[in-house]
Amino acid sequence: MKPKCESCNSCGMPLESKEDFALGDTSSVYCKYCVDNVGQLLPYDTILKNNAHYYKESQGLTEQAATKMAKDLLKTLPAWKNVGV
Amino acid sequence: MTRKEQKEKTRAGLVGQAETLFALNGISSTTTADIAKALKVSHGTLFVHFSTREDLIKAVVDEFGEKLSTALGARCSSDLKLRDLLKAHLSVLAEYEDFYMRLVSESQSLPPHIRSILYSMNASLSYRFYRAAKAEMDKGVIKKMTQVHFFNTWMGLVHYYILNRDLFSERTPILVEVGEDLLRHFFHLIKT
Ligand SMILES: [Zn+2]
Repeated sequence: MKPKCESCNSCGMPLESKEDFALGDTSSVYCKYCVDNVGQLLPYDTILKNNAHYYKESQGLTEQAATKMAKDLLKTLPAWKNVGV
Repeated sequence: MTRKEQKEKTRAGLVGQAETLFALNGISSTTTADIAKALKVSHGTLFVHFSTREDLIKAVVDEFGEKLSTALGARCSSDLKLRDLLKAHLSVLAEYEDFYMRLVSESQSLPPHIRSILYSMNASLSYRFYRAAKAEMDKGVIKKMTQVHFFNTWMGLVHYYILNRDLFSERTPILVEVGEDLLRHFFHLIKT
């Protein structure tokens, strides 16, 4: 069986190849989009904005629908479990 | 069988049973009690494995999502051609068609978190398809169009047939019956 796909603890993005990981470090639990240039997790508001953008760009959701969906998604991810509710 | 193996077996059984009943009767009309009863375990046992009903729905959706991302060449092998990607998409949807039809038709009444996962999976698909499509657009093989139009046109076509599958085929999965035809038609639409 294939190893279970890891995913970013902040945004849920699948971590499939080395380049997907924060700073290219495969021991990181975050993806490259969720950290700054020293590997520090970005603030919730930035991640929320990025995530909403992801819904908008890929499928054409409105700002409002995309933001709500991003909030609903982040709510249960390890990095944000108790934030932004 | 060790206790751990037994536990995993029960968990997998619950996920499989949930998928079967969701597919058969719909997601919102299937209760945790229905699922436990069908598997002949106590209602309490179900909650040992899944603390909420939503967790169990999420487990079924995650399993589907993993199949999808494996089939679409996750883990580095992302240089699949557009046609192969779309073909792989159809074949996983066909495999999960009974359940997937419920996901799509009940989209607006799903728990919000489940819905956000479904559309996040769609976002990944959209990026993956468009990356492959963009390469062919740049070569002038297919028409230039936006990522949203490209992805939504494909999904619109596939979902219409899934949602109305009783009208378009005597047999299921309908994607096995009409998949190749849809693929051919889609390429006919997008080619330059
Ligand atoms: Zn991330």
